[in-house]
This record gives sequence, structure tokens and C-alpha cells, in this order.
Amino acid sequence: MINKISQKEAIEEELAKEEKISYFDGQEYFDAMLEMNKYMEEARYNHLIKERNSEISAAKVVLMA
Amino acid sequence: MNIATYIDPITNGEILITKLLQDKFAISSENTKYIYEKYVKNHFDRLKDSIYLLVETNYVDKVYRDSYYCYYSSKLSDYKRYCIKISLFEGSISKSDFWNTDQYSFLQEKYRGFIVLRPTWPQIIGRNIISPAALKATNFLTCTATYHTTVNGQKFTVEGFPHSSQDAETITCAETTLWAIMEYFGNKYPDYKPTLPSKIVHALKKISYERQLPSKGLLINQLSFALKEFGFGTRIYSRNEYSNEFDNLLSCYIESGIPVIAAMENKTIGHALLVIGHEKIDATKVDLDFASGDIYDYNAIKKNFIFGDDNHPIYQKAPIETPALYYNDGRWKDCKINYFIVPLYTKIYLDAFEAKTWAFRFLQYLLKFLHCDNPSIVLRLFLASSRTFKDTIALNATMQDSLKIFLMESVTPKFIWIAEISTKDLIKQNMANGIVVFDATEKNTFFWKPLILAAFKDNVVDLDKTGKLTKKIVPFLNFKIFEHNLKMYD
Repeated sequence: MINKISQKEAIEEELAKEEKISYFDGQEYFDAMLEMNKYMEEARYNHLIKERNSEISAAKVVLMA
Repeated sequence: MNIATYIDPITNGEILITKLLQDKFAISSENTKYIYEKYVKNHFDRLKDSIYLLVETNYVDKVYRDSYYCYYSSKLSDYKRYCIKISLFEGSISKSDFWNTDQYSFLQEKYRGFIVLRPTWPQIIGRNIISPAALKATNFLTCTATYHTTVNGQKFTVEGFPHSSQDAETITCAETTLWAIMEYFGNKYPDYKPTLPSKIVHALKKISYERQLPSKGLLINQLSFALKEFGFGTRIYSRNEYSNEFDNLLSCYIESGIPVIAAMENKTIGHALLVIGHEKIDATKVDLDFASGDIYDYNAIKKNFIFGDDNHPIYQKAPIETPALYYNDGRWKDCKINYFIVPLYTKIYLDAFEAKTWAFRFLQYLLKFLHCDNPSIVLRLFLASSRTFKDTIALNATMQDSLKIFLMESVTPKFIWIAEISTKDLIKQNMANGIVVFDATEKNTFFWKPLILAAFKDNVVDLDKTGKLTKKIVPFLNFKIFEHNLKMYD
């Protein structure tokens, strides 16, 4: 007989039966996700600039002391 | 040719070392006194008075030999090929303890590392690995790796961080930091290999437009390039660009157990050094004064960092704002760390800046979704390998199985970002009441994609197969924070 010791799957099935699993899937949550996407898009662009500028200015610094 | 071996307490160190410098490196007695006072004494002074030295002559040091064959041997002056190796033991040892099976574990227990003296005077301190346990003062957490070495023909191991002084000709501060980083990673992980001065020269050959020896130091970009050649996915951070976040990002990498190369400079000085750990944070004494409803970055707590600086003995302490605090020379006093270079594993695509941005924002939404009004949160963000994280979770007696099962049985990449959620009071007991685990390989931060699992207020939140944010009611209690990226020395 196979002896499965992992438990997460069984717990999830149990939680589903007990209706202890729900989804953040209403319009409110979808809007929040889009808001987060927009925020991260801007952050990512700003970060790219920081990354590039760090690399460019670092090219001029000599470490020798 | 013979190996001469000596055992003496460190309190007799000056007499022994100056004598050997005269005999083996052919340095005059006046010069040996000066060299000892200026270059060796500060290393010895930091060691416990109970340290015993076992000194061996005619030692073949791999790093110095490399410099010797690619540079020193081509000079007119007679540079010796051999070094002197000083091994450190805590407590009294004697000749009869060696070559004696019964005494091996006794010696290994007392072994605290070694210092190589190379014949490149005045800067004679060569490769050294010293366990923080050999120091008079510690109370810090640091990156360490295990090193295998020999003393009097017997094999020993020591935990510490590699260090060497620069010889100013084949290795300046820049090459020394590169060597130390590779020595650390090469001994700790199979993905990397230790390097040597000539290998650094070779790695930089294709982007060098002048002779490389004698060394004139390296540009920050060259350091970054060399690390990339040695197998890292390197990132450079500039204080100008990251301004207020700069210190916190550096702290985040240190908390992650990743040593970083810092560039310290003022108008006349440019110096590379390593940041390898930080002083123990006594959270009960830390002023965590922030407004209700705010998320406080644990990495912003003011503390001394631990430095590996080739102008000083290993494990120096200083705040990040005044990194040259341990320099007596006034010319260094106003130096600032304006850049740091992080040797990241190549598949960590989400760096600390983006990870922090994502984690803090995600947490705000999570609190809103879970209807947690205005909680004051301390967020502790760091990288961890899944192996170490899961191993620690598995053995975390304070974490309930309900949460443990979800963390242990979630599929994770080799490296994960962890954001531990705590409060002003809980963090003082090194406890957390929530956690966000997210994917360090997921550069696409849209649609909650990096999320692996979040747990807070008896809820486990993750993504279902279609990427939908899912809430499961899973009660759990507070648990001890993860402290396995750095090793604590009390």
C-alpha cells in the first residue's frame, strides 16, 4: 500500500468541504489588482532608470586605497 | 629544507614573530619591530589573551605563490617563495597534543583559524581565516563558511570569513575584496570556485586597455564584471539613485546572508571593502517609533555593520553612515559608502528594491482584503535559499503544524524572498505573526504573480491554478523569526 505522508492536499480538500476557502474575485479585488499592476509598472520603470544610472556613474569610480 | 614549528602563548607573540621575520624574510631588526607594531600587532591585540600560536615556517600559501609566480619572481629583488603560517588555538596546547589520535578532538575544539605572513613587507598580513570566537569582543552576526586547513601536518576545520591585506602591487583593495568574496562563496557553495590574483587579472583582460600589473586598483564596473565572469548575476546600487532606500537595501542583502562589496569614498579616497554582517540587534532597546497604520522596515533599524577591510583586521564594526569610524587617519573620516555591489545568484531575477516595493504594496492590499484596520507592522524582508528556509521551518518548534504544512509543501524556487510580519512588541521577542513568501525568480510582478504564500491573522493566502487569489482559514500562533542566514557570535 502506498503511504502518502504529505498533508496539504488533504487539508485543502477538508477546508473546501467546510467552506473555509474563498476567493478574492469580486470587482473590488480585480480593481485592486489592476491598481497594483499600475503601481508596479511605474516602480519597475523607475527602477530601470536607477539601475542604468548606477551602472553608468559606477564606471567612473576607481577603488584603490 | 625543513619546516620549523613553534608553540607560544600570544602574549609572547611579538618576540616570536619579529625573530621569524628577521630569520625567514631577511628583514632587519629595526624594520621588523616597525612592521610588527604597524601591521601585525593590531591583529593580535583583538584576539583573546588565552590564544596560543602554533607557527610554521616555509609554508606554501596558494594566494601568495600565485602572486609570486605571476609578478614578484620577475623582480630583481630577492622575494622569498615561502610564507609563515600562524595557527590559533584557544587555550594552552603543547607538542604532545599533536600526532596523537586521542587528542585530535581536543585540538579541533580549540582551533580558531590561521594568519599567513607573506614576504611582501611592509604589508605582510596575507590570507587569514579567523573564527570570531577567537576575538575578545564579538556580539555580532556574520556570514561564515567552513575552511579546511592543516596545522603541524594535521587537518582541521574553521568557520570564519576570509581576509587578507593588500600587497598594493598584485592586489589592491579591489582585488582583495574579489578574492575574499570568491574564497567565501567557493568554499560554501558548489556553484562557485575560489579564485587567485592571476585569475582576476585574466578575467579582466578583455576589458583592460592598459597593463594590469602593478595594479592601479579597479573601477566599480570592473569589479562587477569580474564577479559576473566568476558566475554571479551582479547588481550595482548607487546612493545617488536609491537615496533614502540605499542603506536599507544594503541591510536587506546582509540580512539575507549575502556579503556585499561596498565602495567607500571621499574627494581623494576610493576604497573597496566588504560588508559581511551586523551587530546583534537588541530589539528591546531599539526605538521603533512609527505611526499607527504604518509598515516599518526592519532593515531601517540603526546598527553597526561588520566589515572585512583589507587595511584593518577582519570583523570591524561601524555604522553605515560613518564606515571609516575605525580608521585613525583623519583623511578617511568623511568617507561615505556611495555604491555597493551584490553578488547575486544568477537566477535571482527580482532584486531587493523591486522585492521590497512589491512586498510592502502587496501587504497593504492584503491587510485591506483581510479587513485588518490600521495595524502597525514591522516587516522583515530578506532572501533565503528554499533549502535552508524549509529546513529551519521543519525544526521550528514555535510554528504550528497547520502553517508549517502549507510552507513545507509549497513548491518553491532555489531562492525565495521572505517578508516576516511582526509588531513593535513581538519583534522584541524575535517573534512574527505572519509571513509572505514570494518568488525571487519572478521578475513579472503583475497579477500577484510572485506570490507563493502569505499567512496572516489565521488566513493562508495563495494563488490557485488559474492565478486567482485564494483565502484559506488556517489558524496558527505566533512563531520565531528566521535567523539562519547569518551566524551569531555572542
